[in-house]
Parts: sequence; C-alpha cells; structure tokens
Amino acid sequence: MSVFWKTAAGILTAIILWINLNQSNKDTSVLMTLAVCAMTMMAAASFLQPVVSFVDKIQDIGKLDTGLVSTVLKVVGVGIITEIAALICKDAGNESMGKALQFVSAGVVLWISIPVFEKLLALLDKILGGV
Amino acid sequence: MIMEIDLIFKIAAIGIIVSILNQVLSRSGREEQATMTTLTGLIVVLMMVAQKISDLFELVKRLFDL
Amino acid sequence: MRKFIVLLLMGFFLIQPVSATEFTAPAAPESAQKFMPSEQETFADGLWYIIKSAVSALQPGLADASGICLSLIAIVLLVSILNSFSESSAGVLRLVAAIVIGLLLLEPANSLISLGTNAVIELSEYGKLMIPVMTAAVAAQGGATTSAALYTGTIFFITLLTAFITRFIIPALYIYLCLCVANCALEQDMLKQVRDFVKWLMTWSLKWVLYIFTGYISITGVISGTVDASALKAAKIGISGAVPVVGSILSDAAETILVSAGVMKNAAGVYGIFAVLAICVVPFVQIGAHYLLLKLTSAVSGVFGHKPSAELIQDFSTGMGFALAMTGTACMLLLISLVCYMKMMG
Repeated sequence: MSVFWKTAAGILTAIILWINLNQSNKDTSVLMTLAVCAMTMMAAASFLQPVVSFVDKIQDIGKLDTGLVSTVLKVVGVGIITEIAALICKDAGNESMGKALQFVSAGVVLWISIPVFEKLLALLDKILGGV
Repeated sequence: MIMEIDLIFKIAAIGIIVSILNQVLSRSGREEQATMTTLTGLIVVLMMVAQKISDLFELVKRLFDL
Repeated sequence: MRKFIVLLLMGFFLIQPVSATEFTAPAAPESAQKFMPSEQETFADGLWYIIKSAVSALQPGLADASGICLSLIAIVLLVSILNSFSESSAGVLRLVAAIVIGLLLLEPANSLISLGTNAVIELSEYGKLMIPVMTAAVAAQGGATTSAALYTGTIFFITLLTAFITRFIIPALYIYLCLCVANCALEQDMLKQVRDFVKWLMTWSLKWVLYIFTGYISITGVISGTVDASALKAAKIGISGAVPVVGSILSDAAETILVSAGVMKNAAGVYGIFAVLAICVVPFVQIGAHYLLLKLTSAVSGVFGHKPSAELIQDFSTGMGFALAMTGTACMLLLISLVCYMKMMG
C-alpha cells in the first residue's frame, strides 16, 4: 500500500509543478506528464502482477488452451499503452496523433486475435458440418 | 523506487531554469542562444524521461507477454 | 365298449394346445444398460439406483466444465481491468472477448447438444419398440379401442417430436448461440431482436408439442376408456347369462385372465419407465450440471463489471437450458404414454 500512497503523493506534487511549468515552458510540461504517467503505470503494474499470476493459476487449474487467455492478456497490454499515449497526445494538443495511435492499436489487437478467429472458424465449420 | 519524486522535481527545476534563461536571453537580444538553451533543456529532460518510458514498455511486455 | 372308445377318441379332440402370452418389455439400449437397476425391492429404490449411477458417471465431465468456467472468469477479469481503464478500446475489446468466450463455450455446447440429440433419438427408437408391447398388453386386458387410439397418438407424436427436434430445434439452437456471440461482439439491436425471436420460437414450440400431446392423451383416455369398460361389462354379463350353470365360473375365469394380463402389463411398464429414465439420465445430469455452472459463472462475472461478457455466458447457459428442455420433452412424452398405458383398464 505504501506504493499507492507514494504514487498519489507524487501525482499531486507533479500536478502543482505542471501548472506552473505549463505557463512558462509547455514542452517540458508535456515531458513531465509523460514521465509521471510512465512511473504511475509502473506502480500500477506492481499491483497487476499478482492479478496476472492469479489468472495464470486459474488457467493452469482449468487445464485449457493457453492461447486464449494469453491473447486477452496481450490485448489488455496493448490497450493500456495505447490509452495512456492517446491521452498524453490529447493533453499536448495533438489529438489526431492520438487517434492515429488508437487506429494502429485496433489493427494490432485484431492481428493478435487472428489465431482466435481461425480457431472459431474451424469450430463453426466442424459444428455446421455436423448439423 | 517506482515513483521517483526527485525526478519530477528535477524535470520541473530544469523546465523553470530553461524558461528563465530563455526569457533573459530573448530580452537581451540573443534569440539563437535562447532557442539553443530551450532545445538543450528539452533534450536533457527527454533523455531522463526516455529511460522511464523504456522501463515501462519492458515491464508491460514482460507482464502481458507481448 | 364301442361307445366308450368313441367317447375316448372324442376326448382327444378336446385336448387343445395351450400357450401363455408373454408381454416382455424390450431390453434397454446398450448405453443405458449399466444404469438399469437389477435387483431392487421398490420402485423408489430403482429410481435411487439410477440417480446414483448417473451422478457417479458425471464426475469427469464436471471437472472439465469447472475448468472452462474458471477460464471464463479469468478472461472476464482481464477484460474488466481494461474496460474500466480505457473507453476508446471498448468496441475492439467487446469483439475479442465475445470471440474468445464463444470459442471456449461453443465446443462443449456442441458435444452436449449432440448428447441430448442422441438421447432423443434413442428414446424414439425405444418408444417404437416399447409402445407396441404395451398396446398388446392393454388389448389383452380388454382395452382394444383405448390401446389403438393411444398407440396411434403416441407413435405419431414421438415421430413428430424427434423430427421436430432434429430438423428444427437443433439448428435453431445453433443459430441462437451464434446470434448471442454476434450480438455480444457487435451490439446491434437487430441481432438482439432476432436472437430473442429465435429463443421465443423454441420455447413456444416445445411447450405446445407437449400441451397438444397431453391434451390428446387426456381426451383419448376419457372417451376410449369408457367405451372399453362398457364393452367389457356387457361381455361379462353376456357370458354369465348366456351359458347356464357354468356361466359365472367362465366369467370369473375370464376376469382372472384379464387381471393377469394387467399384472404383466404393469411389470413391462415399470421396466419401460426405468429404461426411459436410464436413457436420458446421463444427458440430463451432464447438461444440467453445465447449465448450473454457467449460471454461477455468469453471476460471478457480473460482479466484475463487464456486462456484455456476463450476458454472453448467461445466453450460453440458456442454450444449455434448451438442450435440457428438448431431452426432457421427449422423456416426458414417453413417460406419460407409459403411465397412461399402465393406468388403463386398472
């Protein structure tokens, strides 16, 4: 829990400094936002690590195809990075770059999901063939 | 430590110093030097932040198996 | 002496070959043999034996089902983490979650639906062997009109129900499951409405087949039962009155034969009931276990907050409910027929 309190304190400190910096030096304020967000996400990752281990444990107990759960895990990872980057782009005043990044991440997510779509098609083919 | 508050202060300090130097140099008519100072400050901060971003990406790649 | 020899020779002509009629229920199919009770004292003991055997056969399937449900919970947990964090990727996330959940659930759903379909076909085949035996037994008991009417109706409805389930309900069920996955992935009102319509159509049609059959059985039993009872009474009075001296003895002997036919009919009927239960108990228990586990998983998933995934799991649970309903309908139809046969003529 100390990580959470330090993170909260760090963000509050950063926002005060950011307000001041934003008026005089906008470029550095964007970089400061980036640094603070990166550090906060690393703090969040320290809490997500046990959750992901728990999910792996559930998957082992379930004794099922690891491909499915790992696909969803990758989608979550891509989604987190994209969201942070898009919001920083928006804060920096360039929403179009953020949108472009979101478009790329949608493509990446669909690309990651191709094996899952193929498995689904094969299963539907098997079922419909039987029916 | 994950949340390095001293890094935030360093970035803020560099930003404030750069903006002060920029104003002083601009008012004394040295526009190019002012621009160079701003750029230098930006590069220094960027190098400090880039390491953090790299650490974040490595952590996300490891955690989500990307 | 000559008269004595002639009388003796005439006596030989009175010796007629006599044989007893046997009404034996056809043996249960091979798949159901191991669930048939062999030596139980009461009907309740027999039922308990069938249930215990089915529950012990359930265990491997239950482990697989629990594994799938745990994986579903893991996926919903991950999806909820990202969903709460990122609004912009909600659409793509929905699509991926729907495909992954659909993939996890479609294969077990397919094998369970096949299990239910095979049970319905086996019930139909067994019914076509069993019903003629019961019809002959009721006819031997004096219920010729009733047994003929019941035979026609039961065979017609069994054939109709089997064809209806294999040609309409099963494809509709697969369409329903695919529509559920598509609706979760794309969230379109049109898909939702078509899905709800298919669900309503399956429910309504299964209910009405059973209502019509039950109505037919009730009406046939009431009308034909009174006709046969009146005919029997008239025959008894006729025999007692027409044959002097031994008329009442003959009438009592005939009644004894009818009662014996009734006992054999009931014995065959009880065996038939056990055989029907043995055929459908395993599919029932397996599909029922999946149904309950999916309901539980949907409830637990709803807690995490990703509603579309929880609704999709709930829809698959409903699909399992339909598989249960179609097996149950076929089973009920045959059981009602057998009980009607057993109750007929006493």
